[in-house]
Amino acid sequence: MSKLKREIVRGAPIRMGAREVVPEAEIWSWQKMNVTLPRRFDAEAAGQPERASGFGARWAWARPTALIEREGDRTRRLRIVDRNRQLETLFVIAAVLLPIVLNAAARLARQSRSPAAPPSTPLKQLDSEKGICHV
Amino acid sequence: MSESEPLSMVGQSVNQFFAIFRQAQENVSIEVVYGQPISHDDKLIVPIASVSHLFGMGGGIGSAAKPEKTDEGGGGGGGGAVNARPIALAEIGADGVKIIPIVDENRALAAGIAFAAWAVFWTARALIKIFK
Repeated sequence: MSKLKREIVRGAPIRMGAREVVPEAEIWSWQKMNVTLPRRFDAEAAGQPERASGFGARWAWARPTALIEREGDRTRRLRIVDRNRQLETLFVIAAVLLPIVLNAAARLARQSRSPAAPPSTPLKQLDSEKGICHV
Repeated sequence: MSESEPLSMVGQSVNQFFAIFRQAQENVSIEVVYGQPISHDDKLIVPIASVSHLFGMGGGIGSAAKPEKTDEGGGGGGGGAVNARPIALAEIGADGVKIIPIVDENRALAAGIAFAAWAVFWTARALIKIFK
């Protein structure tokens, strides 16, 4: 099993008086396992070499998504926001955009500051006054 | 193999291998994300965190090729990392449920300083380009 799995899980409700709060979380997980067992695993294999090997890896991330508040007939879903992650995402986006914006601004500023380029001159130019041929 | 016979070393190792993965599944679950509620002044405070883990392991065992030899060998290794970060506090009271986000000021400050350094570098580079 090595597929990335995502599931929304709801936990045990927390009760306080007439109010019931159900926690909700999102769990991402990935798991890979491989086990190699001896070919024969019975009495006849006694005395024969037993070899087994295995490897495995697992990654999982659980984050809270919302609290579902129930009071009588009323149900309210309160989203849980990760302020730290929002701040970091903002900084990353700004860090990516900053060089692009500054490079563009520098290019525009250079273009506006540099004087107009002189018209292109032919390779050979005859200076009639001086009688000099420029190559 | 009958159930009364003790498990061989192979069987024990395999069982242990699966047990570790089963325990790892329980370590990242909703019970860990939402902690035990704490009562305080007629209110319930629920700590909320984001939890993640990453680990890997490998191993092998083997016995000698010839039956008269009694050498048995084995080896294994593994590593992992766990991260738990507080996100918010939920306050459940008579007047309703309130979610109070937790901001890690140190982390925000570090991110701000890193961004400021990045901005200074690129601004200086742009100014050099303009006035070169």
